Amino acid sequence: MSELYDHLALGLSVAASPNNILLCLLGCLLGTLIGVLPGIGCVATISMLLPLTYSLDPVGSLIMLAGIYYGAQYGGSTTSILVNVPGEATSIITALDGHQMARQGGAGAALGISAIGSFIAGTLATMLIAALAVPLTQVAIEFGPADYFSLLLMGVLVAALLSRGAVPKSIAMIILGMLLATVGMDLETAVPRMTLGYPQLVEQIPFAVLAMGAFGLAELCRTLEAPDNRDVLSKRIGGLLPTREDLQRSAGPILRGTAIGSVLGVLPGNGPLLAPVSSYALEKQLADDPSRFGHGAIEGVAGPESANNAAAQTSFIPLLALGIPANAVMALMLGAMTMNGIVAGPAVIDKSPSFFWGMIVSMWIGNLMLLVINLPLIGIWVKLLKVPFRILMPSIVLFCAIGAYSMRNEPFDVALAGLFAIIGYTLIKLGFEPTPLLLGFVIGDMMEEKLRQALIMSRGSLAIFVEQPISAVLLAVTLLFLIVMLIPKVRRRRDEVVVE
Amino acid sequence: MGSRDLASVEHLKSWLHSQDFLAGVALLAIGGFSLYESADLAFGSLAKFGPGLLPRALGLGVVLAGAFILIASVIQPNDRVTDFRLRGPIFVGAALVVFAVTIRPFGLIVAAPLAVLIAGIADTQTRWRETAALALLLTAACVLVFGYLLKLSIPMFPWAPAIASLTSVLQ
Repeated sequence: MSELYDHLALGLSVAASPNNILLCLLGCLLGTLIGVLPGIGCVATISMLLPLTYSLDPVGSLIMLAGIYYGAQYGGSTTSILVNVPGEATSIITALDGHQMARQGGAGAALGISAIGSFIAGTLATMLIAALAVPLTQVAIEFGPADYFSLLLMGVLVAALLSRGAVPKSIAMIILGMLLATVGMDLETAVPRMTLGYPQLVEQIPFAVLAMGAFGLAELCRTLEAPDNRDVLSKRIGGLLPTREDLQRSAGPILRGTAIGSVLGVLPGNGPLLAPVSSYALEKQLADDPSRFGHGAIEGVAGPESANNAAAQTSFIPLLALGIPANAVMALMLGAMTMNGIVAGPAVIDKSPSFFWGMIVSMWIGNLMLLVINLPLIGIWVKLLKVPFRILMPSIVLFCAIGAYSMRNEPFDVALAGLFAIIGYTLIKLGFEPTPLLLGFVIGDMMEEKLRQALIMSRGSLAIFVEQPISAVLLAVTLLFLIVMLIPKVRRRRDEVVVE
Repeated sequence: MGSRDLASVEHLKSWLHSQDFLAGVALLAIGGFSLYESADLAFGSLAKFGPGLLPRALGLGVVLAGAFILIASVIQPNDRVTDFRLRGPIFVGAALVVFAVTIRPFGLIVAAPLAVLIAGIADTQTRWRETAALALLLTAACVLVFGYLLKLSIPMFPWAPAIASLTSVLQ
């Protein structure tokens, strides 16, 4: 216990440095801003802001990116409640009752309870991360290369298959992502692979450029398709503080939502998306009068909002402890860590303790900031909703161009981002999801390294993956999961949950 | 489904336009291209990977996935591709490519407004006066923030020394 205290004290000393506080604040504000604006999601934003992290230290940049992440969740709820337009997919559920509350004049209470619920959930989830991270890494550090390869394989497959999209297409995107990761110099022989003769590709395709194009700009293009429903209007808000009765009703949902969110966040797949759905369903079942749900029940806001924030938080556990990204945002975080020279995996906690604990404590600080800073700023966020997309879009394109250029002072990267935007959009239109592509790309290098190590140990025999007990179990679980996902009934159920 | 159905013109049309058929073709093309590109790289062995082993294995994986999706789409065509509008991605892409081409020779002062204006074409709702004003405003802001405040090494106005030397020669 005292060890945990020491760790948190170390984290606090890092996270509370003026520089990092400022970056955390900046991230939270940027994230809220983006979350409020419909048409640009938080994955898109983080991907477009990745170049910024080149000029920051690793802790600072990850703190800022994490701030963007939960800030966006929070901003997304704001628009869900006020204008019934979820700024983020994770806050779709919030719109159900939150917007009804707003229409009855209780927008302030809905916003307030969502901020309070998120803060409580964030605090508890942060403590959970701090407590779980060490034991988890201690297990993982015993893993041999073959075990680790199987773990990565399981992580990436489960994460991709539980998100949207058809199973064969998701698998195709994982492989394509890994294929893109092989572009550039071979790790051992230093032979350039598939660079098409471009010296700019020898170092590998820059992660930020791929993410910016395939996630950020491709999403802009998708928003461009539907000119009618992308600008929104604002309404009156009302008092922000929930009443005592509101708080009493919300206490249970907040705690239950936190529990559901914490569990779903750790598992691969889109926890932050599934958690609010599950929490809403649970609260509706537990309610004395379920018919109030959908007509402005505060429990229907408090539960899901706490759940999505808890899940957003705990999805950092597999990333920080094992180096496995559980969803698209975590894939971007992993990319940012790699860009900044931090080798993800169980060793991070020992090699860079100040990074690790600083990151964790900053999450809690970020949640506190969202609570005390964002609520008074709601008026400003609402005004921002009025900025038309036709102004925003060219501005974002320009910032992306400058960002892509400034990473290496390389015009080639800017053009490459443009190319990936077109390819990314086309792939989306053909029913492919960009998330498994990014997951495959960020995890590709590490898998290649582990695969090589394992095969060197076994002198080229693939049997090592089933002979090592841990690896064999992990592969068996993965296979079982794949088979279950291919059962039509299970797949339909997943589609229902994900699409809702 | 009978074999007569599979051969009918209607069926042919529906699968040629189905999302999965095109998706399969796209994967075959990408995978095939990577196999072609990595053909010259040494394969090595499982115990000692050559540089070509993984690219070829993964390229083959993409090809197989493409073939699977394509065959499945022929047996059971799914939805058509909807709302495929090239205008957005083409001009967003073009804005970035033009920025890339112009940034070194002409500097941000030319590349930025060009990128904004070309991105403006991507949107059907662009109001040109507004976008022109935006281009000027953003360029000024970027020069100020990125050039003078953050001191990024983006070429701002590369002709400045040339013009200066020209005027000094003229004097």
